[in-house]
Amino acid sequence: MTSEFPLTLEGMGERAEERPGGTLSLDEQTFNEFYAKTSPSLLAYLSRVSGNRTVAHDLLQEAYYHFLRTRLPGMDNAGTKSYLFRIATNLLRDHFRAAKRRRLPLPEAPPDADTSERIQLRSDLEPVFLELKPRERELLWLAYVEGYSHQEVAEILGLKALSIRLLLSRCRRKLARMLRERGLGPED
Amino acid sequence: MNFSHCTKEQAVEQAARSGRWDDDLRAHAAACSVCADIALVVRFMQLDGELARREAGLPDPGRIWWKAHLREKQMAAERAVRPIAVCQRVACLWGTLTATSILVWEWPRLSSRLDGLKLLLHQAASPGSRPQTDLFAFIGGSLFMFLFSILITLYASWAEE
Ligand SMILES: [Zn+2]
Repeated sequence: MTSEFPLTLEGMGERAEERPGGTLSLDEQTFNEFYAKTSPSLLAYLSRVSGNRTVAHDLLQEAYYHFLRTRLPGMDNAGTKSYLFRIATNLLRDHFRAAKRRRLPLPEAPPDADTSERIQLRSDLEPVFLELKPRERELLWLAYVEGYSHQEVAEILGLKALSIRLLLSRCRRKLARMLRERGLGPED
Repeated sequence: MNFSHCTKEQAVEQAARSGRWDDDLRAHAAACSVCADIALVVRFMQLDGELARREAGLPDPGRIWWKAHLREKQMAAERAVRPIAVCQRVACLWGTLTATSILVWEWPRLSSRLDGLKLLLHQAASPGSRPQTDLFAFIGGSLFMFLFSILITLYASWAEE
């Protein structure tokens, strides 16, 4: 799958820039190591925000492709990872825009061949999360699964850092209400 | 404490993440709606995050790297031939402009010759003048074919791009 996503530098300081072409930013071995560290969490993010495993796989490959075309001088591991998440977030946005334009349904992820307990747990949790808007899913995932600070979440989503606190508090309230309505809150 | 914020948010988030609560904080989270939401949401997100990460089926990194490498090479090759396409287009434009300029410049002389041909055409009513009519059709056809081929070349050059 191809994307119209342009690599932008907004919010990432002067550190990242699109390569003029020719070679990739990492050799194969370095890429393999970086991939091993980042891909499980990136796929989880893409999978839960898109709600579709096939789409998540396509976007994951596209995100790494864009990443490999980017020059990242002096960026530490954390910065590199958050830049990867920013690329992925932009690809998700492109995906949702295209799906809306073509009025494509966004199918839910099919369950994997897994233990029945996990399927049960997943079928309890996933529909609740998918009821949130994509932007709300992104916010909550980055803050509470990836543990990014408000500043980092703002950089990844291309939002103002000051607005994150308020947006996050709204999303939290909404998700907590949904969980309680489905009896997934605390027993007391 | 106000409706949407609480000073203990950070501490509650940390405790919900690590599962290490002290009694005061637990009591506070039970009484404060903001912190109760945080505790519930953080626990849900951690659980779902763990579940999502454990799902198998990551694409092979070697395949991603090679695909990226091939795409990059392909793009570099496209960039390399771009100047040739630009030169082709400039040459086509130059040819068209030159042909048009010559036509405009030479029009008075050409026009007088065409008048001569028209005269010959009028005389074509007589059976002996057929070769002159053919000559006129030949010149007109050639001119048309010339302009048509220039247009086709220009279109092909643009379409290729
Ligand atoms: Zn509180």
